[in-house]
Amino acid sequence: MAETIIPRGAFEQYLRDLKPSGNANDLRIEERLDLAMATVMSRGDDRALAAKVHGEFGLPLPSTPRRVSNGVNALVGIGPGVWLAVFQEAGPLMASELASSLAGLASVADQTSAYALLRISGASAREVLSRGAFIDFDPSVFGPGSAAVTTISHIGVTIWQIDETPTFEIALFRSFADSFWHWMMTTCKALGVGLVRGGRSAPVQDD
Amino acid sequence: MSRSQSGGLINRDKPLNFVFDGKKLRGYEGDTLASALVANGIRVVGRSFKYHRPRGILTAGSEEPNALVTLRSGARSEPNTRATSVQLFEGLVAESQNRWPSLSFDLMSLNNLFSPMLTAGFYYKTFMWPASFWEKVYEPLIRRAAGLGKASTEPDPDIYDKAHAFCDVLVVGSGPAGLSAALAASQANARVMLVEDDWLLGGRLLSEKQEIDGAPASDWVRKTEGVLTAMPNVSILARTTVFGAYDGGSFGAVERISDHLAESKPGVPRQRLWKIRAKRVVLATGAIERPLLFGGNDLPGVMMASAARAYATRFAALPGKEIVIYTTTDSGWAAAKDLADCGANVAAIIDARASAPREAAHRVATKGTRVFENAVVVDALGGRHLRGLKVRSADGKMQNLAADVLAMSGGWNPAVGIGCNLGSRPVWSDSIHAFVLASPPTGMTLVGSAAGHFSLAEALEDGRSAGMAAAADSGFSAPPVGAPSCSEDATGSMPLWHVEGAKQKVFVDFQHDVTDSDIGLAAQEGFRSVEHLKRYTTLGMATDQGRLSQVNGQALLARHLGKTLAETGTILSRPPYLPVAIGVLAGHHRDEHFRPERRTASHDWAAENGAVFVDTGLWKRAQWFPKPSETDWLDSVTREAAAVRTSVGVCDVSTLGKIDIHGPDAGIFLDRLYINTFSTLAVGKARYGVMLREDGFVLDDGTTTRLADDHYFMTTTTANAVKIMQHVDYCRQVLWPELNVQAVSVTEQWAQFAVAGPNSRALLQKAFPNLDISNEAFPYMSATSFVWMGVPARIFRLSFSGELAYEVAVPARYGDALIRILMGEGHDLGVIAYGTEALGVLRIEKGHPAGNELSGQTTATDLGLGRMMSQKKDYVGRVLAFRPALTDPQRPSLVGLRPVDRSKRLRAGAHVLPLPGENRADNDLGYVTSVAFSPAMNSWIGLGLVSGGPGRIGERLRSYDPVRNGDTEIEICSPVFVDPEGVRVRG
Repeated sequence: MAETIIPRGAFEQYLRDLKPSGNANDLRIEERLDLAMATVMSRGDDRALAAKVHGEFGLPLPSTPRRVSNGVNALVGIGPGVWLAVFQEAGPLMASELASSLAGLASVADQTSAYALLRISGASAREVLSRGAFIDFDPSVFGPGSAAVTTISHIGVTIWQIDETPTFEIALFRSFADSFWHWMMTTCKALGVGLVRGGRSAPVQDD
Repeated sequence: MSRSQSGGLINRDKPLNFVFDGKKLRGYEGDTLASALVANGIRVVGRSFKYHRPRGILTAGSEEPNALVTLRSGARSEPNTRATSVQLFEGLVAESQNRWPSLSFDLMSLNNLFSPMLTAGFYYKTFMWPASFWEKVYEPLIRRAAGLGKASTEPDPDIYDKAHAFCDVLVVGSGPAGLSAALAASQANARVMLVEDDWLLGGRLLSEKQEIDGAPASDWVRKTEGVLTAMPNVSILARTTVFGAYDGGSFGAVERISDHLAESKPGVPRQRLWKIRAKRVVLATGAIERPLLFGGNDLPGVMMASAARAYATRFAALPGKEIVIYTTTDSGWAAAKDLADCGANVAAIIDARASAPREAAHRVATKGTRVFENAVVVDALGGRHLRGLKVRSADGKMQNLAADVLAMSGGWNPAVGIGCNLGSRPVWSDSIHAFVLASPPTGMTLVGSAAGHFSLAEALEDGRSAGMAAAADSGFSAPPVGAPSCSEDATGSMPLWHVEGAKQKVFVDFQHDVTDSDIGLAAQEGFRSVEHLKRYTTLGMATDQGRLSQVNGQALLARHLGKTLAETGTILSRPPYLPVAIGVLAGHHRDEHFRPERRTASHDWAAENGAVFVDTGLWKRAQWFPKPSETDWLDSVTREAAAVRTSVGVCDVSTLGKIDIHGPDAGIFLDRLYINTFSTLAVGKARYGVMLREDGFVLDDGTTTRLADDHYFMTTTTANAVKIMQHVDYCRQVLWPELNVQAVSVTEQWAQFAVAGPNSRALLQKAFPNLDISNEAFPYMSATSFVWMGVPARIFRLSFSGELAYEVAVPARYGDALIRILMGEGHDLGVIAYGTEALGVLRIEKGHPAGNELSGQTTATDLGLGRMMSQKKDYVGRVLAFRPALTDPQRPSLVGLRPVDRSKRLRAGAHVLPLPGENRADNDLGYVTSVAFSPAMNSWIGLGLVSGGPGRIGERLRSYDPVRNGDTEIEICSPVFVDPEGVRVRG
């Protein structure tokens, strides 16, 4: 019988081939396999839910498409009364734990595997994203904490900005990873932007 | 060669070689194809559409109706390219069009002789009967005669890109008004996008000798471009055409990235499609000069005055040796002055107005140019190109003038095209004798010539104030600055729509060969609306969309009807403003990337194991796994299906839709959604459910499991996954908002595998040794959630095959690991992987309805599921499901079918007919929905929808297949072929 099971990144085979460093204009890209994700759906009393979330995680519950984070746990507003919880180092059972702590106030569905989450950063990140999404990524409009649920290349994506580097994260359903990668490659090539592998992309190694 | 020794915006140090109609020619960097042809003295560049008359270059802009060429060759050949818009490059190859066998000798020009037959509406009059001739004779004939170049039939070797942009102020056009607007808006710190069709900024200032701030206007253009380029809030897109305005302040544009190169550099797109969202838009698209009407006005050598001016000034290419100007405008005189300043011989200026501008007339007269006032050109003379003119003076005297170029200026039409896209209708202005857009769409301002303000001073001031206002509207303000001073620029004009006594054809629409008499005929035949005129005569329907011809044609119509142009009005323009290649609209979405594809977690494993994939919607699913020895798909599928019945098989079923239903009212919600009851389902149990549409027909089916009191896990068919998610959201948000229910798709979260066959329990016990899945602890339709090696996992005891079977689910990122574990652990048990075909065989053997039966035309009763319809509750579709037509016992309903001769093959889609009787629709009893070769029955079997269904069991009928010439005697049987008592599934 198997002793351990190894998670597989949706973009693993593509990221593996990237170089770890390149020139300044290159886009740094990594797949975040260290994040646990869940859809949090209010059961109606948003105020009580906000209080509970604030008490548990020290986070305000965003009522607009925004991402709030306490450095470890983040919530992204993705619809009326619906949030995507994105927790670092929370482990595969995060959703059931979150469901227990929000019991009665919110329904929670594990989406850790549903979304492939790409983190991209670098000077060209805005331009690359704007080629795909009809969203205004100008810093005066879309800054750290901004989030958008939209489409890129006919693929549903949720995008949020992490910092002013700028760094963005893109969540998409993992079955679309290959087609999304095709869009990413053709777009970067057309822009003359190179891709380099970001820090945490290496698959988890077990022995 | 007619190239001047100096001047112009060409680089004489960079000669470029090109080929036109096989002739090797030379131009310079900075030329268009048209200017290089002018410089080389090439006069005839194409043949007209209908009469195949020789045609020369008429304009110097994208409105060109005549100089249409096929650019490049082979896969990159592009017909109907306007030579006036093509930037010359080294090695350019272009061919003229519409001529056979050659441009100078065109047999089709015989059409000229038959022109009485080819008048307005000749399609409708000449090619009427017999009707059978339309497709076979007339249409091919017309298409060959009236062709417009040939598209390449090879795949497009270029790539196309897409991009989006947002700005506060979009400025379309970079002439004096556009530059001025962009400058003003950007100085107020608004985000500005300046889009220019040409490769150079400057618009009319590139080809007019004007002064701004006491210096040549070109200095101001360069300086302004420098300022704008340096500003971080400005982006400039040259070689880009805004082709349409759309709702919500969005605009479409095409950037020609590589069209000025012989071919795109590797990886660099040829063109890019821009979707631009602007808070405000300033339309500085200029104006298009109007041709004048006289006999033979299409002779090569007759061109627009603005074009002659542009060729002489910008391109240093004099279009002729003896140039005559024919004008009704002051700008015609300005053109004459610029031409003379460039060294051209302006032999005469004919002004149709009663009196010419005094000062200008005096100036040219001293230089030997003859001036005619109150005179008109009646006919152009010459065979293949212009040699002279017949001019009628005010006193009615006719005289001949020698000329090899006639530069005409009949007024200016503001280029309002994009402004009309959203429905704003141009109105006639008596002050400028042209249509203007008096009420542009919200957020749009027209400036300069586009607004009918033709002088340079007005353009600069218009742009400045519109730029400031647009910035202010988007929340930006700046200290007001004045517009720069500039040279005087007279803009007087007089409309002239008609000339009496022309001996030759008077062309209104050059590209479609519509003459003034065609318009007269159309009016006489009752086509009184400008829209009818357009369609009947095809005026303005050519690739130039009537930019030159439309107003002249409408004026003639108005004249025939005794109306004013204000009364007859004009037409609206639709996007695209200029032709757009389909390739750029498709972008990267071509070939296999036409649409995105979805891969399951076991995709790579399946590919490694030789799977043949099938498209199921966007999903790639393993269809079967051929062994090296198997050459026929049926061998593989039969082996896989048989192995499931005798041992164990694993199939990826992750593509089924999965929906988490949460909340205190989840049970009640499902009771209303399904025909059967789910609120009574115990936690840890699954139940098969059927949903109806509101009209009573079956919508979808699947199993739904209760994982907690307030948590159900619904599955749908693969095909309907999205539709059912929408249905669930619609029901909970719109129909029953009072229910406390939450729902979300979790299709992508779980990799789910069917493990089916008598050895399935043994396999799962090896893989999950800590789990008790004995029949007692975990009977049929049980479900459990547990943690497996640190990750959540689920096992459901469900069976689609009728065998002892389970479905195992883990988070998708562990799906690859799970399939490898299952196949590894099952090795000794003889496990096989099976694909969607074997899945289909197994379900047909069990009589389970699937996509072919859930066709949207079947009721639950049709499918043998009528007993599931609860009598104790309401649900979607209940009322209409009991309509008489839906409860008719003679409705086709689900049965099994077998060929009486067991060696015969059944075909899906075949009709079921009685044994004796004709093969007629009114004898039809139903049809075969699904067939399979059943290894269990060792014959072909099928499912079908047959009138009176179960009542016919044992009856013999025919399966009649006219498509494949099949006529097979069949026996109606129970749809459940294997294990009808359901012993195995509970074993």
